[in-house]
Amino acid sequence: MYSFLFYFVLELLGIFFLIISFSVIVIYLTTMFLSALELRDHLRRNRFADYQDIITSPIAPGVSIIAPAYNEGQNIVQNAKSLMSLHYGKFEVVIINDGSKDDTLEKLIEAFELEKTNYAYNYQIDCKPVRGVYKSRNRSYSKLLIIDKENGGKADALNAGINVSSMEIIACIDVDCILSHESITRMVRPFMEETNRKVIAVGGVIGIANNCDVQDGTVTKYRIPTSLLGRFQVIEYFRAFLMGRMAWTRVNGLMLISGAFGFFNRDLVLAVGGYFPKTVGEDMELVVRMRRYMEEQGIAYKVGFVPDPLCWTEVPEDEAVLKRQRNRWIRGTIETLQLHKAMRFNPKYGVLGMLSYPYWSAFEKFAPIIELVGALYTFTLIVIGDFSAFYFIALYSMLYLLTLLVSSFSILYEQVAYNNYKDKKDLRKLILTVLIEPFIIHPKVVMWGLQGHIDFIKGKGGWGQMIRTGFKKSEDRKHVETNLNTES
Amino acid sequence: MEKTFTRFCVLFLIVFSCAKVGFAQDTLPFTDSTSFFQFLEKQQQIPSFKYRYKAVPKAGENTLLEDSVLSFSEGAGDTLVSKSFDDYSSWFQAGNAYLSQDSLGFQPAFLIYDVPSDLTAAQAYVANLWRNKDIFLPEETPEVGEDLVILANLVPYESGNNGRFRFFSDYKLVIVVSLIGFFLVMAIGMILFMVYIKSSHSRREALKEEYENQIIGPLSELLFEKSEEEIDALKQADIYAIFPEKDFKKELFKFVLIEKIISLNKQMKGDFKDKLKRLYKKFKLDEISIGKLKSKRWDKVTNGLVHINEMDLVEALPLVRELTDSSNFYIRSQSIATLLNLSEKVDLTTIKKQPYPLSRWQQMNYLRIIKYLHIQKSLKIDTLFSAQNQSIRLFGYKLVRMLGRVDLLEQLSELAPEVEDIEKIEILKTYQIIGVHTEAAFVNTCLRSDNIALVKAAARAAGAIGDQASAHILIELLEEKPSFELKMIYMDTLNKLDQSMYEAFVSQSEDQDLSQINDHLQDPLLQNV
Repeated sequence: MYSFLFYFVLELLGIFFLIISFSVIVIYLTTMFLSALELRDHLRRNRFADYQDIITSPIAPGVSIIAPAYNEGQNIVQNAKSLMSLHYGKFEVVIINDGSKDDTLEKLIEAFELEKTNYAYNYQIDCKPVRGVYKSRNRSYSKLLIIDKENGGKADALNAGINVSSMEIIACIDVDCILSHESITRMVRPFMEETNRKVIAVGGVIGIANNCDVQDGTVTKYRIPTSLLGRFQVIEYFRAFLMGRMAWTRVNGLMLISGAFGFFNRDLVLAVGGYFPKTVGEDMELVVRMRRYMEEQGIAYKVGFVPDPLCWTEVPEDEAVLKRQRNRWIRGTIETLQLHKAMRFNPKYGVLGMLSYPYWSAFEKFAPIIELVGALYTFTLIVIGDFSAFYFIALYSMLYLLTLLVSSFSILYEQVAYNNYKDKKDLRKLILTVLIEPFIIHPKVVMWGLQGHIDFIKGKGGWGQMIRTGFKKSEDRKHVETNLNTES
Repeated sequence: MEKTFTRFCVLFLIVFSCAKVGFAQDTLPFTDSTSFFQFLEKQQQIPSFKYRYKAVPKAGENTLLEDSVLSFSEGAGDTLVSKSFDDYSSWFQAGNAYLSQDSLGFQPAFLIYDVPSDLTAAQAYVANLWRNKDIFLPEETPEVGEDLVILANLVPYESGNNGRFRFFSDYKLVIVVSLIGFFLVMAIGMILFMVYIKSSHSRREALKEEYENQIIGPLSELLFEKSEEEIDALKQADIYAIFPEKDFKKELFKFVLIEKIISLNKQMKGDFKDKLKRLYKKFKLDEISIGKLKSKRWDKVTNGLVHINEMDLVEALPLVRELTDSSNFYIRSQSIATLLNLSEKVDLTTIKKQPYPLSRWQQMNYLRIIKYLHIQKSLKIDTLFSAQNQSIRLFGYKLVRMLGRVDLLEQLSELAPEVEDIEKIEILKTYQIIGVHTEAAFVNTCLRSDNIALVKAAARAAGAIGDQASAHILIELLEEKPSFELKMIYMDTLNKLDQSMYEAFVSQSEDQDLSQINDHLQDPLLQNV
């Protein structure tokens, strides 16, 4: 009886892995196709856009740039100046000193002649207590507003910034990001173009600044990072931004906007209760909650994406740091999916419930587990002598070839659309990275992902129970007290 | 994706139906006793099957009992049975001589699992073994030097492996091979496509650069050295003398020429602009631009519209007018912009009739053109107030404040009490910016609304155009303990409207929020926050 069950399970697993392999191929090929169409259309649309008009037009919406800073004393002044020099008419820069232990605030006060004001702070979204709001008497810095608050993490700091923001659109960014001068005009465009649907958020591409030349806040010379981990992330970012997110935009199923560079409709962010600070995936969770809110309200909406290179950041080239980042990402994904499990295969939520959510569950959340089970399955087959070298080699070669195809295409997309990496040596190195990535880096990424699952099960973060229960409605977030010591 | 899935399903159906056909192709290699013995001869030995003879000799016939090879013994009744043989040949040789002697009553007999059996039972047993694939036809190995074709002709025809294709019997193998096949075809297709795109892109870029270098010199000479009359007098032969005929006839060359002329047109002024427009027509580039309007690709049509707009090709206006109702956003926007720019008798009726909602992007583009045109022409902005489309009415109200059209305020005043709240908000903004103090009563009515958005807009407007009644309403609203955000707006407005009322209210209030807001409003650093 047990023997029968064992072989039956093995047979089922065999069929399961065949289906998974088939699905992976179909999904990746579809993604490549959809992203190519979307990229083509975007480039065509760009030919007819006069971005100069937006800068001065009274019809263009105002933008509040919200940038949390924690122990950024070394570069904060330069970063703030860079943000204030963006080419746009109606915008403000809100920098939140999130209880830094270094001299971040002092540096800002000194450089921008700041004074503490009597700002009537409204805790519209719950956040850690605000110690002071600073403004400058110097009119050159009239766009700058600094909030000094107790430390509460990035999401909490962003919430504090959203509370004081006064413009229609909020741009949530990492303060150390390098933004192109054109970044606001280009990101605002999707909000202005749509006629029949409300644009609730727009995401942008994050470029990798490691080893690049930066001048006046813009990357002037692109070079790929020197380390293998850095180069791997260049390819990974191409795949994620130029392929994945473009394809999801095509079907209006985008669930993630990078926390380092995302634009949101302020009223809607307030309506859903802002960022949820008790998840490590606050960026994804906010987008999912906003989308869920629109679906529950029955309002036609869209989440846009701009593939133009407008924002750059330094990525970790140290394995330990990268491991922590990936662990956080997978936990963020698990937590977000768990919080919004009510949408799973729920036709009420349209593309979000029937396509985006199942995809993220199967191919992002469970990917490390599926790969581990696959390895164990293969090992079991070898032990019991039922291992077919033909199937193994065929499937493995197929998936390896698929990886090569997808990665090569993402490089090609970048080359055809933007051609930033002009040096042929750089391209050769990228292609070499593509060839070795599945053997050297991918197993590590899977291991880090598995560790993320284990950490989630162990309840790392302390909000495990609440997250497991999930939100029954998108507006439930507003009833969750995330900061019990808030003075309101 | 749906199609691909369907194709896969069809493929799998075919695969599985082939497998079923394979199971239905079992036929016996013998049909009668003659073919049965021929079959036995080929097989020689069959598992659990033995050969022997039985005989019923006439009385006095003792020959058989003396045969030492067959070793007959007495069976039931008068029957004699021989010893059993395992293989066909030794059995056949041993008894062959007796088969023709009728007096012996000699006939073949069999043992199946050592049980005596007759011919029918033997045939049934062998047939069963055949069906279960326990026995096969033995393969004959031709001797070296033997003619294989002749040998092959001797073997009766049978379909290969009885029509069973072993490949299809392993469904996992089929799926894996199908997947790899599908993947490879798709992958190769996509790679070829991308390589083609990339190489044609690079080739095109190189050619464009080359053509640009060819164009810039002669074009500058034409602009700076020829008068408008001389340009008009240019003949085709003269043009070919300027630009090589072979290149000039190429589509890409003309594309680069168009881009170059349009780019220069944007940068230059006065006579040079006129010369460029004449050259554009002289080179018959206008035909290309107008021809693009009939393209099926939206980007080509929009590109054509941009050219028409830049080069003032007024003859294309009837065609442009047809595109103003296009379902494509870019064509629609650009055609209206072109019409506004070029049409002699232009007003905003075209915009008024638009069935599609007006996006902010379109509003921004139209505003830029209208700002320039409204000084020279009567655009009839007020026609927008009666548009069916709400987004167009809203645009009309915005235009009044953005262009400072005080003359239209009376019409707005008549409309305002009747329109929806969202329109009232836009009208209030217009009143606030222009400073229409006569509309205080309307503002006060809006302050009493249940719609918070409208109350907010009215409270802000009251700061600029409100009256004493507005201040009293604001005090009443503040006493209703509204949200922090509303308190802030009301207090700010009250402060602007009547400072003494404001101070009196703050001094009497014990509300912590109000005191905090008061500090905020009094802080000079926060005047614009």
